[in-house]
Amino acid sequence: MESANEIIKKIQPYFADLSVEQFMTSPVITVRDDQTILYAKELMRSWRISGLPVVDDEELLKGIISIEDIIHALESGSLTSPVSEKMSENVVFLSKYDKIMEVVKKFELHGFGRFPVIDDAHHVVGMVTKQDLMIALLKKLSILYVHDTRREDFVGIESFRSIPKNIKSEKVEFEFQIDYKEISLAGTGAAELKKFLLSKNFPSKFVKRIAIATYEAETNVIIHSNSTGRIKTYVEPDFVEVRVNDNGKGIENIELAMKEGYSTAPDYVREYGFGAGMGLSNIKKCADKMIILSSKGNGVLVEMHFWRHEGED
Amino acid sequence: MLLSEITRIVEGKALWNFDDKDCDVCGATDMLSELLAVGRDGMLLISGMATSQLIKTADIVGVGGILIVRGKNIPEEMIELAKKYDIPLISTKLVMFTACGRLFCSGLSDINGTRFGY
Repeated sequence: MESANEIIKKIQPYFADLSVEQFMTSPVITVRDDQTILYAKELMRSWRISGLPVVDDEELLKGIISIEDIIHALESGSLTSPVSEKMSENVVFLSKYDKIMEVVKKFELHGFGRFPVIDDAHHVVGMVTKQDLMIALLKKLSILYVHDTRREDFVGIESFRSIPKNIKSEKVEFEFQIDYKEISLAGTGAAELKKFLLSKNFPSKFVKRIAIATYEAETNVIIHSNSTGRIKTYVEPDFVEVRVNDNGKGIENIELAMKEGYSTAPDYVREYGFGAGMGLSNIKKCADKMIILSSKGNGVLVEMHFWRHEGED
Repeated sequence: MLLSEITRIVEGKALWNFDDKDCDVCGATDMLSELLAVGRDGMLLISGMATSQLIKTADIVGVGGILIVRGKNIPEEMIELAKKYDIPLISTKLVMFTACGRLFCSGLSDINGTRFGY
């Protein structure tokens, strides 16, 4: 087993530019060193946090107070003492310019759950928890796995889980090159795929789901990517996988793009009736599983899995 | 309801020589994604969008017929495509609202099965 550190080392170049400033939680809740421990306890309770940076009048970092310190204060009956008496003074902190590797190292070295972040003047400007770190890594990778919860029952059954693992045997059965320069050609690939699947005797309801999802993905390539794209389809008796990829500008914020009604489509495509902001959510509705891989400047890969449902015969 | 009856109600005209058939469910939209989201097999689609793209999208969903409102100039290629995909195409001078109103009052139901008087 590789440690998280080793894995991150390997992919480090990808994160090299990511600094603390970009993923810290800010503004941060702090407590002043002359306030009571009782007050700090209340702050932690109402914000549901387990540690507070302690600052002085000028917002300079003086220490950190954790739940553990508060328990000690409770035991010694000193809840009304100033925070400065029970806080830990040797604080390990991050600079807002620190790169992600240094952050990972500090988490590993010290075993703390959170670090305060300071600026050049030693002011507390943010907080980084393990969760912040994880979210930052995932965001940077822009990996989004969307699974429709309405299909949970179906996904739970054995046949779903024992899907042929060797599906990526590279026996692409249908391939289509998307011409992004001609908006009026949008949907041609989906129509061809529909024809192909019907010719393979797949039931029409099943084929319709696939065709709709593919149409949306294909249209996205034409409207948004400004690059060539490709539709690839892998076929098994009860399963179809469709991959649509492009080499375009990528999706900056997948979460936002998933929102129904959100669209970055230019006006001229709206005149064609596109750009309703329903594309990705339509795909999610039709596919049993959808995976989007994208980041800014790196194109988009939409992978869609379809299993034949009962009643689709 | 037969397409010929629908054509009569909206004072429309058939844009190519298709076979008459039944359409009992109806939906109206100008957005293609919405059509993909709500489209039902065999439904009548009312739209103001006179483009070939509409036909392609309609084919994906499997609509039974299309009514174009506001008497738009229908491009010849759109009609050709409709023929190719065997999708009946009707046009009317009525606006979307009126066409929908007349057909709803005549008994066509929406995609959820809601009908006039029910």
